[in-house]
Amino acid sequence: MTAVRKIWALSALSLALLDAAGSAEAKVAFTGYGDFRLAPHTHNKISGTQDVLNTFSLTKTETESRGALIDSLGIFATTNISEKMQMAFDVNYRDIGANARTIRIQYAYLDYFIQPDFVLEGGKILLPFGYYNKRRFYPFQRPSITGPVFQSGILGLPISDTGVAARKSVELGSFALDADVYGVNGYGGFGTTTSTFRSATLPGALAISGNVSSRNNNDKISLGGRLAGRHASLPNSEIGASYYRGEWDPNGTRLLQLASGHLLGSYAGFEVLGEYLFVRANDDEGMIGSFGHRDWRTDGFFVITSYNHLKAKQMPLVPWARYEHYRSKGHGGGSGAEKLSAWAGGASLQPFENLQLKAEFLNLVYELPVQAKGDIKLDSWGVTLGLTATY
Amino acid sequence: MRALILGLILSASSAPARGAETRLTIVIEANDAMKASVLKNIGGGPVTVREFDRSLVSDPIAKGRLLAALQAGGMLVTVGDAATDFVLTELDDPSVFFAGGRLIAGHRLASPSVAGILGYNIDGMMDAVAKLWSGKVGLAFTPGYEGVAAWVRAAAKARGLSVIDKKVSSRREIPAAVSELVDQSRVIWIVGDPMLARGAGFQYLAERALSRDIPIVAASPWELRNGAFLSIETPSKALADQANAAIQALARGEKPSGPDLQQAPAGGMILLNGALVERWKVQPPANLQWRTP
Repeated sequence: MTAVRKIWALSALSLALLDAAGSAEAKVAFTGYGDFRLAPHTHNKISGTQDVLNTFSLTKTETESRGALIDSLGIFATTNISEKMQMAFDVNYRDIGANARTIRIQYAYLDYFIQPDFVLEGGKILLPFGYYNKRRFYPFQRPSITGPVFQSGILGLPISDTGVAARKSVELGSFALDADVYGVNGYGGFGTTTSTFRSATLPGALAISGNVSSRNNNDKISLGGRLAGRHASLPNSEIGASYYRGEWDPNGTRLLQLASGHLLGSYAGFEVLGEYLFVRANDDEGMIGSFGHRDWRTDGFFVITSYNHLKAKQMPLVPWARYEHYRSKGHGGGSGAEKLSAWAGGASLQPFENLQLKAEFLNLVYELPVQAKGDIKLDSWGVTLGLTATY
Repeated sequence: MRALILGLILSASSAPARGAETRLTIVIEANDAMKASVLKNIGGGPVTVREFDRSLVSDPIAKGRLLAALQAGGMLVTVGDAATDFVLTELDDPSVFFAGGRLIAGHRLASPSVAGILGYNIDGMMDAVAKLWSGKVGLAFTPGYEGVAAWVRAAAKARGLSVIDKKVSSRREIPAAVSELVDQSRVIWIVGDPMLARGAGFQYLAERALSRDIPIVAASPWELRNGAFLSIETPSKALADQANAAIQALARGEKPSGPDLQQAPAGGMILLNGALVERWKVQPPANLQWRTP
């Protein structure tokens, strides 16, 4: 096709698409939030054998700290492109000092509603994995200041990636089923490495949140899905299971699988959310130094309970408590296990619809093995005050 | 080929813009008891029903999605006080027909693109006032509420009560207006403008009035829980039927019958502040049906 014909064809196609989308002016709705924290006291203790401390260039330390920070500022933009199509994105600013050192697009996608209960989604999407990732990640979605430590700090929330998804809701009498399937670029290796997924010794490599990049690092598409059920007689309750699988290395041969089961129950003002997490990574040379085996797995869970019927001078007051335990070790061999246990509790007060005041205590114990040297251990506890404002 | 493409371009640009078709979006609280009655037999043009939950105000993701959908154009019908308050507060100059709105800023009420049915019946409230007290009714209203003020004056006059009124155009004018009304009135009546019915304005009024044992008549139960003495319940079924008739007319592309601003149908239960009834030893007459909110 000649250049002129291409221009004509593109013009006609563009106008036809605009006409199909509807020529009504598309207005953008901007909303957002801010999450502010004050930590009056945090206590950290690092311990271990001298050999294991030397591996991380650390010494036995016991420190106390206090300070304030703006944990995050977020702007959401949403617009209806047509009656059936909506675009949404979230820009998140973190590590805010003189500048915002981290600017993250948490999600940016188009929703196309084939029917009100059948939607296609494309772009950078929040993966429908578990319950917490999509419904409790943001501070205004929960009474606590922090999220479960393992999921937030090591798995890395929110889990979002570029690809497409489809969601269909079906009502079967009193029961409702939500089914999601998706295909995304998937987790890759750490940085530019070809054989390391996680590593205890490479800076920043213990968390796998950084393994999602802007493009696919191999020729394989990662697939996943989520199935969740609700019953009309049990409002604000849900049971579900999620699964993800994708090859993480550039050759597309080393498999990563994630699986989750979740249960949300509400009764008489009490709410309980539990999530079980399973991770299995194949042929990861990065964790041989910790687990003694290149295949490893994680099993763990968190449970959060809260009570939502209290009021203090007509202001909703929500006390809550959380416990989590995760264990990662070699799969099919090796020795040593990474262990994370944490418990936390606190309360949230809502003096206005757009404002939450929070207080939280967190106690964390984390152990990471180094083969033939022992475990490095972190004991941490602290008190945090928080303020979450939305607009 | 070029002629065909030119033809496509010309036909696309000359076709009626699909966005110009009048669409009706009904915003109604998810658990609204009136929902079924409001939505029955709605035919005509394209109608979308969007459920509204007050909790989404604190969820910017859900709020943004709803605002984006509502901003996409067309006529909005809001059912219930919370939905009406949300739409009129968050959208710029929307075309709204509200059913059951109680807390509405005066400048919104004055907008030519806003019409609807208030959530309270002034005659019913004035009946109760006349049974409980005699003397002057002190009326505080804001720009946009002139029509409501006229109803209050007419209702008072019909029951042998006199009215002194103060038009409050800004927050600065509230202290002087309140002082005058408290000095000269037996009971104070405020309209449902947030400037008077919420925040520092209402707090000041409530403190001054309560210090002089002057009861406040207000538009909604919220004021009752915060120091006002009397309000009225909305007769849900009758309002739902009235709203349904209006929605059916709008869906047909017609104007709802009646004036742009209407009172709620008669028959709502009077609401009284139980704590003040006890404190002031008020004895409502036997022919006054009431309850606490």
